[in-house]
Amino acid sequence: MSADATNERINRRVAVLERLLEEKGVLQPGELDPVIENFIARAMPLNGARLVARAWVDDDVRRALLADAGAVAASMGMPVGPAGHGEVDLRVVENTDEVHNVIVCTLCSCYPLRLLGTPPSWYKTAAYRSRVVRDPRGVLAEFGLHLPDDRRITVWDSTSHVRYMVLPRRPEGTDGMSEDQLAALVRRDALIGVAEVPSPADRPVPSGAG
Amino acid sequence: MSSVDPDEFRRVPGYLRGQVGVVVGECGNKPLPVGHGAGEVFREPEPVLTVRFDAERVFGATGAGSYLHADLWLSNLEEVS
Repeated sequence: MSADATNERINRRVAVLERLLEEKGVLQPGELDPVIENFIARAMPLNGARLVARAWVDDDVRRALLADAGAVAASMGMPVGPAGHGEVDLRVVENTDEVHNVIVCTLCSCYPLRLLGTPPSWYKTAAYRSRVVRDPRGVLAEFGLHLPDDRRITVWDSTSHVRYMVLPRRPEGTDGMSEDQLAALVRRDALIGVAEVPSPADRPVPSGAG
Repeated sequence: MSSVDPDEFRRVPGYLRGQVGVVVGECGNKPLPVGHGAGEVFREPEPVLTVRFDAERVFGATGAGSYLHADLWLSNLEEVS
């Protein structure tokens, strides 16, 4: 079944469920839309990019982010929630010259929405979810990310209440750049771990940055 | 990792069942979610542990040089040594 057909079925089910909840008085008509819209409006990859840029320019923040990412994200005004039940924790995993991290949720499609925005459709496909654990190096190569053979790949499968974000390596040629300029270099795919952050020498800084 | 495939869904990916891993971190005590969707219930809180698996041991050659990590509720785990 195509992704569009699957989405269509899910959309219909959601609409029916929402109507039933309203009919039974669990929800007031229209109660859900502003909640979701408010969350989605504040959920964007620029949030994750800001965390990364802050960690790149301040080593204390970098260490704090790796030790307790949820606290750092909350202190910068972007708590990770909401969760359907209980608290969601955030863990940031750091790419180095030795280790490359990539995130997945093989059981469903858990994703740190607040920091990364709505997930790309490929993240939710059975193909990505099953293959990135089975053949991580091959899948990353299909994304155009060809890692050296001695770079260990570490896959984080989001099987519990913990949501993961990758702290990419800071690219060459970014000395002296401002935090905002650095954040503008960081794309969603680098926060998932299927890309690295390109050096500005390789790709022009997008207009509007800085 | 227990090799028993229970009748209920406890947030264990099938590819890890029966595999041997190393506990590398802990994520606090959390209620154990059992089941799917609207049928999901929460049991008493248990420690959730981050377990590292060698991808080559789990999947063979394509996993060479890779680790897999999952966060698993304690009752899904068995001590091996």
